Amino acid sequence: MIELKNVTKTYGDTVALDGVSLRVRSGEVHALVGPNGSGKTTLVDVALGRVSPDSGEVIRDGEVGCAFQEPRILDDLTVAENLSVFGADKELAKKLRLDRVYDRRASALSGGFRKKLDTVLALADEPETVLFDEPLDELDDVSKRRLLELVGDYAERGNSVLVSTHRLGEFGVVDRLTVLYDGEVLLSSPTDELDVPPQEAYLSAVERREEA
Amino acid sequence: MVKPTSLLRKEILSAKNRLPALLVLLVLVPAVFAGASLAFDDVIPRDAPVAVVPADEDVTQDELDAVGATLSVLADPVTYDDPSGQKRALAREEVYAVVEVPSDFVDDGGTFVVHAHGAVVPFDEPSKLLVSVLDSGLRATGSDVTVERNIVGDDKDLSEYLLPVLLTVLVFVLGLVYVPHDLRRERRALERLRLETSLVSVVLTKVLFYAALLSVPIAVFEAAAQYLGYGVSFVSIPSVVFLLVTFVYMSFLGTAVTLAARFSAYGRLLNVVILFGTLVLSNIIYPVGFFSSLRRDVAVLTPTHHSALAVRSHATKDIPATLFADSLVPLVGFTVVTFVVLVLATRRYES
Repeated sequence: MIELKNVTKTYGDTVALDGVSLRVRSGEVHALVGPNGSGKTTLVDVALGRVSPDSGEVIRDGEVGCAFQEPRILDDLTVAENLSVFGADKELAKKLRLDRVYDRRASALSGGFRKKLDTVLALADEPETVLFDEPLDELDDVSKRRLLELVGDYAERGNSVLVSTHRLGEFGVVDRLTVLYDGEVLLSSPTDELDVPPQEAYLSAVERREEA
Repeated sequence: MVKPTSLLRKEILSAKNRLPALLVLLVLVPAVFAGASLAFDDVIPRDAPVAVVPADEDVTQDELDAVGATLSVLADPVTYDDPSGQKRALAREEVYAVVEVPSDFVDDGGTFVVHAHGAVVPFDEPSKLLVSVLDSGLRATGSDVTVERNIVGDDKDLSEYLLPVLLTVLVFVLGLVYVPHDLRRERRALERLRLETSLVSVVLTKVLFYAALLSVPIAVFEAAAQYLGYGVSFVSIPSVVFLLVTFVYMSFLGTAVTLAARFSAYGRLLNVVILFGTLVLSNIIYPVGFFSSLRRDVAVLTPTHHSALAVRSHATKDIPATLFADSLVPLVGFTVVTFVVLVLATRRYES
C-alpha cells in the first residue's frame, strides 16, 4: 500500500503537485492519468521517495518497486546477469520472452526488450507496491497483452499497482482512476463507479476543466 | 542543403548552450596549465635542503655556519645535532644530502663527506655539484680540505626511480578518472539501485572492489621490475597500504565530483583538472627542492606528495616499515574528509 496525503511540491514558481491525496490499495490496479505537465512524474518521484514533498505526508507500507519510463538497467551486463544482480524471477522473464535474449548485453537490446527487462526487475522479490511509468511504451501488441496479464496477476496476489500512463485505453485492468491536471486531482474514483469507460471519464474531466 | 553559415551558426548556438563546459576547457584548464609553469624554477636545484652535521664533538657552531654559508649558493642548509635524526631525514627525503664537517678544518684541513642517497636519482648530479662547490668554496678560504661523496644504500638508475612514480600516477588515474567513469556508465541503473540500497553503498562497493583489483597492477609492476632486473619491489605492506589508501582517497574525490555535477561533462572535465593539478602540485616526479619554494610549500601540504614519496621510498630503499607511518595519518584524514564530501555529493545528486 502507498498513500499520499495532501502532498504539495513546487519547483521555483511552478506548482507540480498542489495538495494531492491518493491511496493505492492492496490488490488494486490504480491508473494515474493526465495531460503533459500535469504532475504525474513528480507524483511518481514523490511516491518513490526520490523527491521530498514541500508539505504533506507519504506513507509506504512495505517494499516499493518501479518500472521506469526510461529503463533503469545495467547496460554493461547481459539480461541473465541483470536478472541475477537484482534477484529477479526467471520464470517471469520467460513469460515476457526475455529468455530469447538472456546472453545479450542490455545495451544491445531493442527498446521493447529493454522495457520488458526493466519491468521484470521492478517485480524482483515481489515488492508489495509497484509503480509502472508508461509501461506499454515501445511494446508490440503481443507483449502488451502479456504485460497486462502479468500486472493483473500481480495485483490479484494482493499487491498494489500504480500505473502512470497516456495509454489508458489500452489498459484493460484498472480498478481505480485518478486524473491529474496542473498538479491537482480532477477526478479520483473506482472505475466500477464511473458512468462511462475510464478513458472517456478522463477526457471528459479534462475538457470540463479547460472549459471552466 | 544546409549552408556553411548555418553550420557555423549551429556551432555558435551549441557553444552558447555549453558555455560552462567551454569556460572550463578554454579558461580554467589553460589557467591550470599556465600555473603549472610555476613548477619549474632552475635546472639545478638552488634550495634543496641539505643537512650540515658535525663529524665529531669538537666541531663548533661557527664552523657549521661557515659550511652552511658555502653551501647556500646551491642548497638550503639545515643543522642536525642528532646523527640518527639526519639519517632518518635523508631516508625520508627531508634533506637530499648530509654534509659531515670535520673539526678545525680551517687550520688543520680535513675530509668532508657528502652523503647522498643512491635511490634519490634526481639528486645524483646535484650532489656531485655540491661536492664541487664545497671543495672550491672551502679551498678559496685557504683551508686544505678534501671532499668525498658517499652513496647511502644501493645506487639506483632513473628507470628504477620512475617505476614507483608511474605506479602512483596509475593509481591517481584509476581513482580520479576510471572509477567515476565506471559509475557514470551505470548512472541509469542507479535509479533502480537507489530503490533498494543507498547510493553511498553502491559507490563504496565499487571503490572497494577496484581497490582489491589494484593488486593486479601492483603485481604487474612487480613482475616487470623483476623481469627487468630492477632493484625495486612493491610487495611490502607499507607500499600496498599507501597505494590502497591513496586510491580510495582519489576515488572518493572523483566520484563526489561526478555525482555533485550530476554526471555532466563539467564533472568529467573537473576530474581531469584535479588529476593534472594533483600531479603537478604533489611534486611526485622530482623531489622537493627542485622547484620554487612556493611549490615546495604547497607540495608538502598535499597528502598525495607524501603517499607518492612513501611508495617510492619503500619500493627503492631498505628502510623500516614504519618510517612513513606518520604520513599515513593525514592521508587517512583526507580520505575521511573526502568520504564526507562524497556523502554530501550523493545527497545533492538525490535532491
